[in-house]
Amino acid sequence: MDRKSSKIIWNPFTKGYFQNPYEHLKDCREQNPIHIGSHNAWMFFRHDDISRILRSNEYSVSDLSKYFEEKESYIFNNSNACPYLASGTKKWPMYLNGSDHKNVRAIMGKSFKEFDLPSILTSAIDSLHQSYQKDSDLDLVDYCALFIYFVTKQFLNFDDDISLKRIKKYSNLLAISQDIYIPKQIYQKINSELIWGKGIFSNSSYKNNIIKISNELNLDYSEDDIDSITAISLMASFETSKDSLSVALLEIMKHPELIDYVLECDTKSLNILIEELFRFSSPLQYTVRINNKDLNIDNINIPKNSKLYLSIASANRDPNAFSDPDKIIIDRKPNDHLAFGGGAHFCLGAQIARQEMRYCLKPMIQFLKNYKIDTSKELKWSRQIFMRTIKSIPLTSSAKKLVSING
Amino acid sequence: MNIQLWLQEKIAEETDLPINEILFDVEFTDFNMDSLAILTITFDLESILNIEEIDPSIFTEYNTINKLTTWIENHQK
Repeated sequence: MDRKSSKIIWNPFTKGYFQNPYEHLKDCREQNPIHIGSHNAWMFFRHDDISRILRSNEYSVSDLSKYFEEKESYIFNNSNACPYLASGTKKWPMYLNGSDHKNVRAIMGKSFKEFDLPSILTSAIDSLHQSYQKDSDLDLVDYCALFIYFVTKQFLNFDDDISLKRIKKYSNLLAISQDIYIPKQIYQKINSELIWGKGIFSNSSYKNNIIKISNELNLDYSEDDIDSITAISLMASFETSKDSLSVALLEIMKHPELIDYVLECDTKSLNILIEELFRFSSPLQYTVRINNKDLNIDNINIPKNSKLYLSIASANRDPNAFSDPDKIIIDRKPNDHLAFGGGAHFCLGAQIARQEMRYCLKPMIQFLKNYKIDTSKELKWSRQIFMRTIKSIPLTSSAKKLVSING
Repeated sequence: MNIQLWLQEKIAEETDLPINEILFDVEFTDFNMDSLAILTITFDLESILNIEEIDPSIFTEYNTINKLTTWIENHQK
């Protein structure tokens, strides 16, 4: 199990990992499914283990805000910046346990119910296609980001003068705050973003609603606590939706038979395909749990209070849970994927993410079927481990034909 | 650029130790650098050497300034 053994050790710096993590994850899952990775913490790769851990009460989540509290004196040593990492992340529900977790989930869950999501999604698609009508060049990632920007703008009601470019940067840095292998130079940037982000919601009805609900629940939340909830609301609704939609559309566009299928299938079949696309893309590739008790799995002893890194990306490609796991099977059923986690911390935004896909896939594919992936350029993925993000997907240009037909 | 001196200064800066205590043949663990400090030095190393994606575990394998300098010189060629 140690570094001197000949068994494979998980290491995201393995050549080619960021372009395609799945080969390395397969090797880890097959050869060494539970071990201490290159970052000196426990790694899990099998669907069975991960599903069981996520759904058990015997594990907690790790506390991101506490980590920052411990590290802020180092990160801001010799710096004039106001440390805000711990405060800014204090109410992020995926890092909270017990009643803290329950309360933030209750607030966010209640606030989500007050939106007319179908009408938000329909109008976002209209705005999106109006913006693109006359363009012959198109980047699929920008296209997805603009759609999600229109959705989140209505949903979270942030100020009109906050541009897509600005939201993209903010959301991405907040996503990176949860990653591993992050140096202090990047944490300092994230700190500035968190402070800047307090202003995004100055006139937001979403923020006012969060305050109202927390008052109704008699929670004595500070201004910083409320800002922490609005920050995570934006990151969670923008970043993961953009990432899963980009990869889903990319995969559909790679396979002409999928384009036809999406355009022709009924709602029930579309929903089954959407689950398969979430499994396949797994935008959140890892999550962390802490074992409250000593563990013994496969004769490996893991002392209590260890950090366990669970590779959701690997679990979602485990052949013991999914036949032909590296293929998109349009009618895969059952599909016990873990893209939204599981158990007490099951993704709060899962239903929103599903609705987004249900409303947008058909009209988007209808629009995009006139484009082709520009195969002359290599697709570039960001150097991110926890949340897999593609930087750019250039599309060409039967689009020119589209303009002349439309125009 | 003298990599040894750069590493010495950088380690002194990140650990708050006096620079004359950062000796070229002493193991990094003796300077109490945690993983965040190692990542921070790696990040600057990538930009000054113009090498992408340096695996921070080189600090475990090449665990003194002298050993790491040899690694860097081999990768710059």
